[in-house]
Amino acid sequence: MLTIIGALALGFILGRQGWLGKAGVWVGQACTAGVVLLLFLIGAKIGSDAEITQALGTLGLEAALYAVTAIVGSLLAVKILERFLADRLEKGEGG
Amino acid sequence: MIGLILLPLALGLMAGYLGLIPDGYSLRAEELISGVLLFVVFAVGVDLGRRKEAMRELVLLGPRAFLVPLSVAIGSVAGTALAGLALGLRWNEGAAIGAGFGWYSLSGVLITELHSVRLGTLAFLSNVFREALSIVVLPWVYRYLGKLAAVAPGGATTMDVTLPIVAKVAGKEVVLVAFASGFVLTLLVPVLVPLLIGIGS
Repeated sequence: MLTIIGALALGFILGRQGWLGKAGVWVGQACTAGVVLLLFLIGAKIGSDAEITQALGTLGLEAALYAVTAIVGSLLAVKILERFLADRLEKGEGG
Repeated sequence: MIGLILLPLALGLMAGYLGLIPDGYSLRAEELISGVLLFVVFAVGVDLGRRKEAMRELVLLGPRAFLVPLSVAIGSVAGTALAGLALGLRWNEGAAIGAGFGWYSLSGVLITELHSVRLGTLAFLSNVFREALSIVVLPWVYRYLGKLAAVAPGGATTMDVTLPIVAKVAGKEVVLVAFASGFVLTLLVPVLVPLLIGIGS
């Protein structure tokens, strides 16, 4: 957790000060490659986990339903929040 | 963009399931993912530093940025509480599953310890699904529901694993809100899960 903040902060400072020079531009592209690799590794981790694949048969469908309702619920709540914030900002009560 | 997200995830899942990944991988996966993650987060930071408007976005939101994780928490817990009731669980048992916010290892272990192996396994699996599904739906969520909504599906994972993916899909401006949201939700998991399980006993 601290290392994540550290990496983000280090990158932020280097980027802001322009100390990376032209390398800073490459970083955007390297980031895409990193995300693709990251997604593959996450997939492989889930796919190769015997504990997960064994439980899938019995509890898979039920678990998927909980995942879907959690996501839908969180999306609804954030949309409601967004509307609330927009209303307040329009009325000039923000702050 | 959607293909760029789904293809590597699907390939990884298949390769892992079919045993095409070297044997020791599952043991090393955590370290490998952490390593790549650190690099990607560093890269996101560099890009963020180069764009001055990103900071302005967060300053504009101010303390309201913390209302985002609060909404995500309420929405997730309410959603799974209702699902639990529909599937014959007590409301708090369903709610505890949702309070994992995608942090499957901790929520699975906690619920197994405090309740039962069955509910713990269910929480574990459903939070694994939440992480994977949040990546899969992200491009559509961003397209139809907007930037702020893109922070919601990942729950606690937007602090680390899905942070660069949110950045890639929804833009670097939301990175700080996404990180803050994931951070607050991560702190909430070890508090909320025992609390919700405790209500019923």
